[in-house]
Amino acid sequence: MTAGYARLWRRVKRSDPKLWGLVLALILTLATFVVPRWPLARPVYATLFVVDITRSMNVADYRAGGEPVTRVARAKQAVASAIARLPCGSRVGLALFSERTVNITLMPIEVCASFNALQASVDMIDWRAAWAADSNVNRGLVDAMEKIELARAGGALDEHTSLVFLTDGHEAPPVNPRYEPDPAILVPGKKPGAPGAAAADAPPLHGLLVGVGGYTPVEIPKYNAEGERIGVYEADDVPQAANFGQPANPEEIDGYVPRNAPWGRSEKLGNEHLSAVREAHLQSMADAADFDYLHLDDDAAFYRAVTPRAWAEIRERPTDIRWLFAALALVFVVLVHAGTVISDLRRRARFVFPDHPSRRSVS
Amino acid sequence: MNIAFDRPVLLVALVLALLPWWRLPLRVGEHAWLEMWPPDGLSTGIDIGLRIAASLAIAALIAGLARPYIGAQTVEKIARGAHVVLTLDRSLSMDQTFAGRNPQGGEESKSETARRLLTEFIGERDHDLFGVVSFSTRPMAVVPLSDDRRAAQAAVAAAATRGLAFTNVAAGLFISLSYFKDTRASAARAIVLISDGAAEIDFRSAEHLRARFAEYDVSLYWIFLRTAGSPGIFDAPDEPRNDNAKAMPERYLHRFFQSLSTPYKAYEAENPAALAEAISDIGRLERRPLVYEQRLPRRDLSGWVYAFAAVMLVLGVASKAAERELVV
Repeated sequence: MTAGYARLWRRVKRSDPKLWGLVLALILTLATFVVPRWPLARPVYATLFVVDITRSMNVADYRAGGEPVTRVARAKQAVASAIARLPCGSRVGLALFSERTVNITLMPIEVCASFNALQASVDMIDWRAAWAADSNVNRGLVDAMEKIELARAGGALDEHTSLVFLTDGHEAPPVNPRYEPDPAILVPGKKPGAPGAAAADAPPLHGLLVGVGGYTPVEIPKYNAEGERIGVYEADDVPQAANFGQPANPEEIDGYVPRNAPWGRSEKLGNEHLSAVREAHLQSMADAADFDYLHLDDDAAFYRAVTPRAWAEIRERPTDIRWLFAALALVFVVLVHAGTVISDLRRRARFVFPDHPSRRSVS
Repeated sequence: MNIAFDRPVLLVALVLALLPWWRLPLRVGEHAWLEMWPPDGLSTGIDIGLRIAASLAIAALIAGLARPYIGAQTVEKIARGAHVVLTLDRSLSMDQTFAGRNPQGGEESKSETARRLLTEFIGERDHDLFGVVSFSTRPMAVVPLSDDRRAAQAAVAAAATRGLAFTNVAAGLFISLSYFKDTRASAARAIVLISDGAAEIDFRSAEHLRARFAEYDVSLYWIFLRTAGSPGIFDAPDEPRNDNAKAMPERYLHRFFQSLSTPYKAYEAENPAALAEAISDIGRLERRPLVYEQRLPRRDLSGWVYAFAAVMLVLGVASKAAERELVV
């Protein structure tokens, strides 16, 4: 017995490292079949994407391949590409914003199993689904926060669900800030004691406001009931200033008459018929709601913004680790073959140049 | 068959597959005289074969790392089932109970009942394709006709959240009908309209709808979630002066649906049990055989590629292990 082992050991000692390189590579390649998956802690996300489908989102101030692209199309593309990149196990739901309401159209579903359906659903988002033509983004945000809170309480959404709201921030008609709900009330612990405030110990809602649109105000296209374009909104087509309720600071209003003209008597001139992304407004809403803000430029930045570490739920999932074995096997095979090439080159150098330093180093 | 790679950049490393063509990693024997070793066909063949094997092993490992897959394929299957578009009313009144109150305590709203029963319905029907449309003032195409049941159920679940505005049945039906534009005619096609109210359909829309239903050969099931005390589909007016579409939109919508050339059936569900019965009826009706296309998820090929690499490596190891030192 011992003689047998000794003989084997001698053989191993005498043998070529290249043989062992190849054997290791073979073992590693076979290992891809033995342990293809290993449970690893991976971040997964649950996200509700809200896309603004109001009229101002029809402004084509993005460009793709030289062609003008509307804001809503750009927002859809960003959402679709984020869905494609999210790790398996993540869930995505979709919702539309118009008027003052956010309408959840699809509860979050798993992104890999329902990849096709999700992409098709994003693709079918259409501005014509807007149930009313107003656009009150702040109320939309508050509505979304309320709905998510309600759905979490009812168990329809899990508490990791984060909110990503893509909008240009255009309020139409212009709002009177005095009557606007404050998103901060719905942030747990931010405004304790305020009527309707969220419980201080409620799980926080992570969110992101995404500003969609260019910085230069441009005209908003106008469509008829048949969906044909019939020009653009003119200055006279839209209210140029808020005229609802009582103004917050009457002394600033020219020609203020408390009962008969609380908003003044002069004609209102403005640029409400033009639309650009209203970053300051979005930023302040984001601050109130403890959300992040991002201007939509490229998909990679958007993906990073919707997948911060803090939003992730760490779950142990069987993860494909075959690449690890395959990469090591490849290293060994390549080393074996590269080894022949290198030793041959050295030998040749020694032969051609008898004084080559490698000669000294080798023997 | 469309093979693609997840990480195509890695394919650049395929140049490494050229390495074995320099020389095989076998022992070099030194010989005084070449004439002792005349070239022979068999040796050359084995040499080339081994080089090919080594090359392929490297190439296969790299290809495996780049994660090859066959893109989504469709296969045709024959089944009994239907293409069903669920058309859901999202009007605010759907959030009330069948008694017309806001739900309190353990009570279920109409939309909640509809969600629960439709989710079961979708889950049971293995071979049907489901699409979901929701509508209030305007229609929303939510999920296209597909075999993805979870997506359809998620869309139905979303419809149970707080509703929107009013009921525009015609708009909802138009977009539901548009789902059948591209699907093959072999399937039984059905629209299941779930609403708790009706609205007058204007003449022009009515004519359009009539033409589309005939063109796409779609049967229609209307599940009317009747609230206690409200007028029903089958109610006749007490007075002739109330016999118009404004006063009794349900009755007139029903009459319009009856005038369609395709099959139509109405269910008046006044409570959750009646709704369940209506749904099981529909389940029985649409059982014609149909040819449908099932989309297969993309298939990972790296396993095959690694297996191939392993076989090629076995050849390499065997050749290396078989070498013997030449004792001269």
